[in-house]
Amino acid sequence: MNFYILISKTSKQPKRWLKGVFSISFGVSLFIFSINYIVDPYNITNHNLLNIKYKFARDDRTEKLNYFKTLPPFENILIGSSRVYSINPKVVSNILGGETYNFGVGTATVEDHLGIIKYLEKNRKLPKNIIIGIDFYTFNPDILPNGYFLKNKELNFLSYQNYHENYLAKFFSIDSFRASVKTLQKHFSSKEEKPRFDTHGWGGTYEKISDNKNGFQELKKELEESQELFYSNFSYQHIDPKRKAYYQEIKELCHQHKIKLYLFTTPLHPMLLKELKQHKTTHQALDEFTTFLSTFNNFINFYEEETFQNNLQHFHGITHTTSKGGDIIIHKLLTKFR
Amino acid sequence: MLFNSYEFIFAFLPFTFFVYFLLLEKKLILGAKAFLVFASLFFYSWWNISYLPLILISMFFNYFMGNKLNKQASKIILSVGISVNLSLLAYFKYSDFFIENINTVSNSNIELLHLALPLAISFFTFQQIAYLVDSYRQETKEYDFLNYALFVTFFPQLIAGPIVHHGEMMPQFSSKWNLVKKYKNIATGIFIFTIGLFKKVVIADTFAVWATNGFDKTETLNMLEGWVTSLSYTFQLYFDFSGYTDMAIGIALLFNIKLPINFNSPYKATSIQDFWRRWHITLSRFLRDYIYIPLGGNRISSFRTYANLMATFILGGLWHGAGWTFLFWGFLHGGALVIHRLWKVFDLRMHYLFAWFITFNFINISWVFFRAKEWEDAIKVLKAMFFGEIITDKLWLANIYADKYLLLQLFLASLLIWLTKNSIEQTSKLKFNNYTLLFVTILLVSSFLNLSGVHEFLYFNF
Repeated sequence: MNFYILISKTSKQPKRWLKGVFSISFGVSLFIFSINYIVDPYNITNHNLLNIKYKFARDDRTEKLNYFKTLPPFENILIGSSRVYSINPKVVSNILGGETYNFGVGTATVEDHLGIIKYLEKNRKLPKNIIIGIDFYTFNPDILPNGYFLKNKELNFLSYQNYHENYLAKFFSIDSFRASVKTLQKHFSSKEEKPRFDTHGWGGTYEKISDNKNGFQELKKELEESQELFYSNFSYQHIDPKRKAYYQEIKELCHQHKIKLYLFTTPLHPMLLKELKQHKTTHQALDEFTTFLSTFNNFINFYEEETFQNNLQHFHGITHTTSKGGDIIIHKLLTKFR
Repeated sequence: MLFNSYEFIFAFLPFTFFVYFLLLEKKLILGAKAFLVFASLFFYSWWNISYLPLILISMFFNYFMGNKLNKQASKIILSVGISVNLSLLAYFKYSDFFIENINTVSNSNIELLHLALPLAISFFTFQQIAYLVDSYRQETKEYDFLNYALFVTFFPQLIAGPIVHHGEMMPQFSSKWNLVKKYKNIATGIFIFTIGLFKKVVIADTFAVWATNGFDKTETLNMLEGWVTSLSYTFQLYFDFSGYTDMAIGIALLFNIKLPINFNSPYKATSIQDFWRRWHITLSRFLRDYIYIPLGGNRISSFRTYANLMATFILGGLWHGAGWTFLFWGFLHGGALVIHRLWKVFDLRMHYLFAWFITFNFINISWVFFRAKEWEDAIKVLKAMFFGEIITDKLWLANIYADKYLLLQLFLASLLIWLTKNSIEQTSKLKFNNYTLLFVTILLVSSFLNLSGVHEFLYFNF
């Protein structure tokens, strides 16, 4: 083996080859950059050159966080996964007073809950009340923190994955490109789009799932998907001790900053809840989960609220409630502990 | 500035390249070289300008001492020169390690200095010690200062090597044949740079996540997680460092400078000696020429040969970092080389597949000490690897936040390492046709799209 790099003597036309490499590589990269810059799916520049009414950011966290930054502090913050989308911030404000922001983000885990509170603390935007809707799956050690959480340097407080994404990177990333394409598709389609979240982070109204055969089939399908996605084929036996510790940290942070913390388990459709309770191992984790949360003040376990659970009018799907259900949840929780 | 950053790829590199050759086209040779030195110092200062005086003082001091030695081969001048260089390295790199050990042994409480390690200090110090020794041996000429400054600061190799020898760099800097734009060199440079960039941002940074997760959670790893953690780091280190070297070689070629190769498929090695002929080749060369041979090499006695090997590798371990884990890593490799030598003395044989298996696993296990922050962490990872719980359900990789796709990624990386030609071999047969054009384009675009999470190179820490 030669100690130096060998340069082929037989190769010809390197100049033409170089032109090809540069024109194609930089052409493709420039195209991606331009589309991302013009569409700006995460509202980084706020130029909105195409006058797009509703942008589709694939990542709720970035979308909500970017918007949240432009707003004054709120008195009440709702935290959780997409299962708190249905909770109307206005209902919270009516009971507790002040302005409310719904910081629910898709497939949030406990890391998101703590990450958002740490972000609020760091940016001096802590509210008076924090309400967290907790999903059973978020304590499953088999469920990883959401990839968008890990990529979000403002929310990700974990040391093991610290992305240093910079401003320019947002315009070159493949994620931004996907979001741009989706935004453009929606923008140019004839169908009128609605924003995903309003100025208080609310996802809008969620209706009850249809009672007909199609609705039932949809529920069954969702039930199967939930098992795979959220409960990992019922391999969930014990709740994650690390996430328990994160919750203790949330408790301490709230105590330290004199924030009133309200917690509730996000209701599950009776079909799913029954399966979980009957399963030979998952029921242990479920018991452990609710027992742990019972150690917190201002907590309601909606799995035990039979009047809520048994009314199918409250369910938008297997794991999501309707807006009406959301109103009932928040009313029950806040009036009980106010 | 990192090679895998937007500012380097889209601003610094093209600007430096065009200005350098523009000055050469205008026949401003000195100006072009001075510009390259200035650009290299700018590149170095990008991280922290406060390190700049250190490299400048070191460069002026060694140039002065080298010239003195060249005129008069004085042991005193050589000793002063080497001592100053080593003192600088010792002060910045080893003082806290030394204080910590004093505190432990004497139960005292001397305060640590908490000095920031100036970037590339290990690399430019070694390069210049070699220059002084060779000047003493009358193996150097009285070099032009600008060429010497380029030898020390030339940005492609400044931060993490390859550790270059003045004898191989100076003639290239002074050769008039290297002062014109050569498209074959540029194209080859772009080819090898792209491979390096892809290795770093797409492969190494992917494994970095799992390796970091595992080493952060040594308490709770099961057996599979232990192995996945160590293998992830083994692959990360190779793709990271060899990727960096490929980029350095590629960038240097744009300027018609050939840097020595640093890697030659090290994980294909079938013995530890073979490994050190393939891994960080320029460091091995330095250790051989400036530590092992001056200590007597294998010329005195068998015992002294083994002792010299151990001493060389323990020092090699310490060069990588101030800590007992690095020292132990060096000790392990020194010990393995001694065993290998004894094996050869007794003329024992082994099937090459078995030899490869033992070598690779030894390297993989020894990297655990190299990576672990604390001694206890290394032990915990090794315990998990050999005595950890065997988990068969879906929680098998939960502690390192990974899923089954990680196993697929490890498998694919293994195929790349063991079944494909390395970047240097591929470059030697490079043809500028549509196939390589497509290959480079795909690698380059996918690397650009993955640049978003800019991670530092591992060898910047050494």
